[in-house]
Amino acid sequence: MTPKGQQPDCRFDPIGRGQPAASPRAAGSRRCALAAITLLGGALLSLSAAARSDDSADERFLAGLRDRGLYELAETYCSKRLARDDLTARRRAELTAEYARTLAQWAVASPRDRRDDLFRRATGVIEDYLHRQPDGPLSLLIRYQAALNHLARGELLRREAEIAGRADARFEPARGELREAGRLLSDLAESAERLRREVATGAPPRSTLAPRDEVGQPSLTERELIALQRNIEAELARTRTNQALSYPAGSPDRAHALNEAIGLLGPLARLPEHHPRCWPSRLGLARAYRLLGDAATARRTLDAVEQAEPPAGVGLEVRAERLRLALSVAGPRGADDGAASASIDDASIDRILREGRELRGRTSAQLDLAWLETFLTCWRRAAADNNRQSAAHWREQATAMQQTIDQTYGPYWQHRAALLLAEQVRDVPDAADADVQLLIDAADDLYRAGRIEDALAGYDRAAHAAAERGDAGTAFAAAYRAAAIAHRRDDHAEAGRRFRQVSVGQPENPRAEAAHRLAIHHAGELIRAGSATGTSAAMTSSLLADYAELLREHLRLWPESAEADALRLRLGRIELECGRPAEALAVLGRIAADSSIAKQARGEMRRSVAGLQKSGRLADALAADAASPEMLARLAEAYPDEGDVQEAYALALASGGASNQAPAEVLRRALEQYRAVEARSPEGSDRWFRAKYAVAELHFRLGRPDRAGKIIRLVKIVHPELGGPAMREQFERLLGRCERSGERAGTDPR
Amino acid sequence: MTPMIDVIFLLLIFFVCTASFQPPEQVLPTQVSLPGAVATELPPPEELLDLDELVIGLKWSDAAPAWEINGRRYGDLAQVRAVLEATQEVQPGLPVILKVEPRVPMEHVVDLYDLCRAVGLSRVQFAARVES
Repeated sequence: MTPKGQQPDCRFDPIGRGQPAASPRAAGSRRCALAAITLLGGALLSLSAAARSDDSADERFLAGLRDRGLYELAETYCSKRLARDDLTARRRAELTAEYARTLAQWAVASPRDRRDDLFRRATGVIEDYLHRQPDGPLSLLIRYQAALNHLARGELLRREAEIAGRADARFEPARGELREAGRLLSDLAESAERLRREVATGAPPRSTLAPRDEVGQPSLTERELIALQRNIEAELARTRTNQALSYPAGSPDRAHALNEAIGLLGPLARLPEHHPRCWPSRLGLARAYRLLGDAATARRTLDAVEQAEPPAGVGLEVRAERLRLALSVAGPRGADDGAASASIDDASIDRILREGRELRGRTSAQLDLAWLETFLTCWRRAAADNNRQSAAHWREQATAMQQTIDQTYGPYWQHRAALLLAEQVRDVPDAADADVQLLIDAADDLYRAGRIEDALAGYDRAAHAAAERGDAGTAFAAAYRAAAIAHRRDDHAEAGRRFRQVSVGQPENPRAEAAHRLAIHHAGELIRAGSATGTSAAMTSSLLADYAELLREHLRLWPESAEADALRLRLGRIELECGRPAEALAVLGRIAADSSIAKQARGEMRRSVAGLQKSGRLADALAADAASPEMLARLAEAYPDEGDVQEAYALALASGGASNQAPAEVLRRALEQYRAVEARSPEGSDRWFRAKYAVAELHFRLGRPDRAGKIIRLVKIVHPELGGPAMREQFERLLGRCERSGERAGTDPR
Repeated sequence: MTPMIDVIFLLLIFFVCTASFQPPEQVLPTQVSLPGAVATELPPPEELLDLDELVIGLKWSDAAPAWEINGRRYGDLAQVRAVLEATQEVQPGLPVILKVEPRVPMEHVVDLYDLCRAVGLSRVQFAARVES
């Protein structure tokens, strides 16, 4: 909350109203506009009170509801009261104004997607009233409310555009609203002046704007009309200042709008000091001169304000304005003038800084922000001069001030300060020397401001800096955060790329596996989006290949992850769909037997085996390196009569694939499997000879060369050809080894 | 006393004359599993594991016997003998199964059986035809 009486740059406190903020970026501007509407409400109330000298209980009740954010209740109350037929014309006008004010405040406090509708409804309420009662009492004030609705909306949009970056196109909606507000206020100013003259001369009202009450008397006295005129002029000056700030610094449009604002604020600044418009107008005038580049007049205006011994809040505003003036046109980007760097009045800055942040025990968010701008400017200048020591000093000062603002004031000021620092960190080369956390915080602030590209670049820079310092964890966190932003934006290509990059770069990080799964998710979303939009077959095929490659990469890097089996099933299905049953079999075979998807995996394996049998490539596929013993075991169980499968499993066992068991045990299992193969193969067939040889060899490997030798000799007696020249050679070679081994052991191999 | 000794001698002569010294049939090496009987497959002895049993087929072709050992044909009994002797040399006591066609005269069966026994193959079994 801003301390009571503090005056931000637009003469009212845009924060601390307690309304829920839709987004940090919008919050400040919304609150600013909210306060504008509150001010308007105050103006209306004061006029109404002057006219009637009593404040109705309804208005106090509605104001209380709005203050507590109970807009819906306030709206219901207004609409119900307006539906009654026994209202006087004055009461109807008052309630209409309250209704429109409620909707406008609600709009300002709402998220962007609801805001437009509420503003439209507020405008609708006013238009409906004016359509039905163009000559009703207080119609002038209702038109004034309509103009302020546009002004509040325009100011909100301008601040949002400013926070989101100074791209010219972003300001166009704000300019449209401000133009409309200016037009309405100008018309009102003419009408009010005409009416005032008519009231002064006692002439009957000529225009429809001339309000008369139900007994035929003018609703507003001359004095009230003069007060209204001043309010209109002040709001028009505010409109012009906002318009000026929506144009680039130094542009003719900005200069023109500022000159108009100066013209309007001049008479208001001469109001007596007890007038509520006095101090804001004088400060506004000084600010307008500064923005116009007329530093001397701005300084004189501020001197005059200071000499008049203003309240503490105004005094602090003067200091802030002086600081900005001393920064001349060298304010940091993001400051309200957005000017380019030129010169800095170091002596003045030094003097103002020595005056301190407090005045009569009070501080000001505006002054603290000006201090921050000063520190940032000094930091930037030191960095440009390659003065690293000085740059580090100013950087520390700026960071400390940003933290002070963060702890002292509301979210609007926190956000503005953080954004200023973030922009500085983004642009100043020596920022990388600072704590990496500063870079990450800056990127966070840019993200909250809706400047996604800048935020992503900031995270990349932080990740790079952290990696250079060997801080792998922070580098991962920064890169992950950037990927998460892309994920949240549903930018599938970018999110997928970033998640893959971060996970593959640091696969040992505990979050790497999950990040890679997100990369897979986004690759899948790309395919889904492609099929929904009718992407060409070639493109879909390419996306599918990328997706499959990601799955393979995941299984290569995290073969034991909790999701690995599910991904294997997915990859196996893709391989099958792409006509690669061997690859599908290899992947599916690695799915754990106790997995919850083991049944589905078996089904897909059957499809794979069927495909391989059809193409006659089953044996090759089973002999491939990719075939795991686990997969072959499952296949052997599923296909007990399939010789290729049984033999491949036996071969895998004999090769010692089951690493978690003792070799001897594996060899015994292999022997059992080969015995089964032999028993199920016709005697004398190729497979039978292979199995026989394998049995003999396994006996030999198990340390039983005599048994192996007997087997071979018996086979040789009964089948002297030994299954052909190739097998015969193997048999003879093994027999020779058996005999030699037997001789070494001192036993008769025969 | 004398008559008692006479009776004892007579009984002794009776038991000596009636005693049989042939082993009972159920322990003969050749066993036949009859159709319908419940067969209990006993695991082969460890030393015979993975050593092929010899399946000798005896067929009747062109009014003459024909021999096969584990699917390979042999022209005469001498060749069969040579093979059996060779196997006996590698692993004595290999089991032998005789698969005899019903048309083969009994004398050839007896010859083959005697050959197996002569070579030293004591575990000779007959494969029985299972009537449908």
